[in-house]
Amino acid sequence: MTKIALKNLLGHKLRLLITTVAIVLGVGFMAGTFVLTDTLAKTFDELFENVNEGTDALIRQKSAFEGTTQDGSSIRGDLDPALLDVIRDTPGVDAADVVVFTVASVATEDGEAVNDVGGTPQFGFNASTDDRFNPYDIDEGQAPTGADEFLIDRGTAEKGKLAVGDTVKVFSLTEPFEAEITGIVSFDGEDSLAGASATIMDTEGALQRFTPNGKVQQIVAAAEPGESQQQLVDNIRAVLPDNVEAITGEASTAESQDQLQEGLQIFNTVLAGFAGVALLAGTFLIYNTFGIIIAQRTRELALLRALGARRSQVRWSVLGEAAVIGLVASILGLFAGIGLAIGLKALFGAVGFDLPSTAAVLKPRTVVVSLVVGLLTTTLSALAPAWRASRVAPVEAMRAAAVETPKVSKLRIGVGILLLVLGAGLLVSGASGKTLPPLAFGAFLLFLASVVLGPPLARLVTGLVGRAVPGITGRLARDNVARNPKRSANTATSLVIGLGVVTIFTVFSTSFGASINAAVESGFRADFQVSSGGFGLGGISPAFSEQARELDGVEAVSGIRRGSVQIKEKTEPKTRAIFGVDSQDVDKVLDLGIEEGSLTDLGPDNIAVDRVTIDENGWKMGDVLDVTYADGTLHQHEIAAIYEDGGVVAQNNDGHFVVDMSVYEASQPSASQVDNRVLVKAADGVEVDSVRSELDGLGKDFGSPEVQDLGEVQDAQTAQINQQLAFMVVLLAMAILIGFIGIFNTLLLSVLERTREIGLLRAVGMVRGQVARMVLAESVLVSLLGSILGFVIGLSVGSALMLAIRDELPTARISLPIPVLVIYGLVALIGGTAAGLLPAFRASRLNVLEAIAAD
Amino acid sequence: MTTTEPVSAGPAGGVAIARAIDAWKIYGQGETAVTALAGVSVDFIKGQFTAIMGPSGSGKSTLMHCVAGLDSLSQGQVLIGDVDLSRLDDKALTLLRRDRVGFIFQAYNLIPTLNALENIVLPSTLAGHKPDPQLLDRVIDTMGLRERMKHRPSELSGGQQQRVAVARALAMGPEITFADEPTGNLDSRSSGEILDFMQAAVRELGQTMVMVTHDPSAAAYADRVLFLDDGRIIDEMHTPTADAVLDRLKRIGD
Repeated sequence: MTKIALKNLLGHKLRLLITTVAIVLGVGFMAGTFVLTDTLAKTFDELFENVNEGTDALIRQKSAFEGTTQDGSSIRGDLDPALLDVIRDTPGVDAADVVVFTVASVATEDGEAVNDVGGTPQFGFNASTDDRFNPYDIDEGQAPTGADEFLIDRGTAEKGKLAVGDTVKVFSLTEPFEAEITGIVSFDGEDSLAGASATIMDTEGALQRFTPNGKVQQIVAAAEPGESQQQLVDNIRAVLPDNVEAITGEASTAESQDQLQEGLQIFNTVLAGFAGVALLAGTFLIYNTFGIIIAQRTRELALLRALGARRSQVRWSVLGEAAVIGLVASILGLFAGIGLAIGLKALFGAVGFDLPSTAAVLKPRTVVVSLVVGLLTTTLSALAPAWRASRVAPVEAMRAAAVETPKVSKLRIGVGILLLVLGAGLLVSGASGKTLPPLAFGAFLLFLASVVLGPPLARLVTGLVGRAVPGITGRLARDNVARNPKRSANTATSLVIGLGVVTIFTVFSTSFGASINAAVESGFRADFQVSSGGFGLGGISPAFSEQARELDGVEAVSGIRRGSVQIKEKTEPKTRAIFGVDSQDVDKVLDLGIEEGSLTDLGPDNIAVDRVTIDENGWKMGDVLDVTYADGTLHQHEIAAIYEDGGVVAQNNDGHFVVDMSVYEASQPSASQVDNRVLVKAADGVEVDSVRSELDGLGKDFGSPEVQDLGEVQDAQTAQINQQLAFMVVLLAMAILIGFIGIFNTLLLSVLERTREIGLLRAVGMVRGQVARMVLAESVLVSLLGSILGFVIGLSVGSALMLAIRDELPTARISLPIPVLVIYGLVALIGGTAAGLLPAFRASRLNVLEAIAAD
Repeated sequence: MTTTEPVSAGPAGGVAIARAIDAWKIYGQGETAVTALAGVSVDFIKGQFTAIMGPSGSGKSTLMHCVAGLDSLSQGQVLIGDVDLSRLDDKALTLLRRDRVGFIFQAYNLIPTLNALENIVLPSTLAGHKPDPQLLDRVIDTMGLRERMKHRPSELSGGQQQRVAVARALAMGPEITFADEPTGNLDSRSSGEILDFMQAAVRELGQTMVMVTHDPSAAAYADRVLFLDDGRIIDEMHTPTADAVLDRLKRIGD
């Protein structure tokens, strides 16, 4: 039986190839994901080790509570530099120095920021006098001294065309200043630290320029020869005040590595999810292909059974074929995945994300998962067809070709409708009840319903849409698609998956964007928003809003900053985001929907809370809350205002607490003292455009952040969301491609099946062009079937999803991206046509005589 | 015994609807070449029912396929009317088959998704015009299919399916109709019926019919029988009877 199985495989190489391709794509995607994240992890692991090489002990403030800042590091306060002397005197310490580590960016000679403020991370730190604490090497020039000299990384230097000796503007947490580049550095041979820019001053200069309060972020120490890291830490711990901790250099490295791993895990899971969608589409392709092949080989299988093969032998033979295909495809997919990962890493490098090159990391786990997934997918998909093959009765070897039974069982229709109703019901209930689990389950049921109801739907859709194709070619195409509705439906299912998921994402994205924009609009009282763009890393120096206030025609200015504190709530202390605003001006630029009190009442001892949180905790105006700052100190804050919608200040759904800027500055570490955005209102009667040009002018001193009015803010928001959507659509392209490959495959097999019939048509007078058109029409019809079902499911689920998050996003609304959907429709048409080209060509080129003689 | 002169018989002065002139068909090359037709020349006269017989490998199907435009000659000419088939490309040949030449196969003659009527008018539908209503009616009645127009092939018996096939061939008013073992898959009663109808088509509708068969009793329905062996016409018989044909067949190869 093995020999027969193998001979079968090789006898139909094209079939084998096509089936393999689908699995290769899915497994390749998955394997590529794993290889990429493993390689990135290793790269960063090495990076962290290098950075921490000279550090045996790290001293820092204890973290007051759990949580992370916007760039992912833990929340902790700053250190008093005076602690350095204490550390230096501790036995076992060979050398120690302070670490200033905040944000800084530079401009070109023209005054434009080299890196977009808020794009790649931009660090400002100090050069230690003890070189072993410095993670960089000076390639050109020399070390800087004082508050007017600095080093810059090679990556930024090349990008901004900066050279040693240039004097340019530097921006950090204090006023912008001019300084001279005394040297260019590299990091272990790389132009930058994983794409981040580094502006380095000597400790005195860093303290003056990079920190608003002269405090440092860490102290590092090196051990005397012979002393272990642990011993050093133990010694140091003895002299530290209560709220300061020390950890070994190794522990610090491990911490950074773990943190990154967490982030990469999420990345990995998301990508793997997309790979899963592709594999699901592949499953249906295999299931369908094997089903067709079994049907075509009925006689042969019956013959085997008549000659004495047992049912189980037939089953294993089919499964064996599937297993071989699965194994070969998985191995190929593994290699494809490795290639993909290498390619992607190169792509990252091309867009400036310089990572030291490591060889691609292939962990055993990746190999095992790829093989198992590929093998399982293929064999499980072939299970039902294999079972059907074993059911072929020996007597069918004697009969003529089986007649297709187009009757769809009433039971199937009944079950399908039940699933449809249940699914739709759950979808609606999830949407109105604003809960996700019933919604997810409902979506799943809807998909199942589309699979179960596929055959009757195939006939319905074909009948309706197929009328568009004129003449006998259209008639025959419709008949061919409808005569085996199960097969047509199964073929279409892969496309339903791909296009369905894409539509869900699209509808949701567009709706989300529209909702956000509505939220922004409802609260926006300002004339301009000055922002760092990008994803909020880094920000605008506080000096900007100070100076903006002084401009002509400006009536009100408020910066907005986001930080974290711990607040004792009803059940337990929770880490919460707080937003610092200029309490005197904020009402003029934002409408938070004040319900009680007033934001102008916010002083150093107050706090404003949103309605949702007030209700959750049963608080009221005047209540005093226990707030723990980042440095661990406990403070009391009285509720002085209650507002309706924090989304306006937070631009997401965690705008629950608002404080005056003085509170923010007291409660957050230095590195967080940047404005995420600044809102500006022009005075009445003043020309808005003149204020814009003033802001633009001021901005030049600060690296030219974006100055936008409401419309531009909304456009930028939409553009960002569209970018994310485009990224996701690219990831889903694989699944859609598999869908079209499925159509191609089925059609090819179907043409083969109908050889004699096509020969007959040609003999009776159908010209080649008509044959080709007929086959093409079939391809397009099946493609449309899949697309229509996919769209309907996608639209329903996407819309329901949007409605379900109304609690988190009060302005949630459905916005159907009509142009995009039209494009998807065109893709379906073009893809369907492309899939049908080769089968149509083959069909039209059939030799009439050979075709007629075919069995 | 071989003959290479054009064998023409039937009504004196009859018009030749189709002619093969020194037709050769050779498959393969060199040592492995197979000669299916070795210089066959024959005329098919209007209004005549011809049967072509011979052992397997004699070239009878090849001859018919070539004359019908389904296959091409290695050498020689086939003319339908005045048209030399070797000058025609695939499209022209297809249109010829559609508009001027009828063809009936041994089995699987019908498109399973179309009903009987749709199958009958298929050539016209392919051409994009309606068939001649009078001819259509006459053909349907002659073939006795009036009651079965809406039925699909799966709802028809073997004999009825063949009748539909014959009706299709005739309904577009062809100049000549070819049938390849039309009774091969039928029981004797259905065979007889079909052959009656085919004969009726020749006598009443003035059709010209050429049939390849291996069945002597089928050949007896024809006006003349051509015997082929080794790619050549070796004999011809007029007003054949089943016994005479059987005798002649036995003697082939002597």
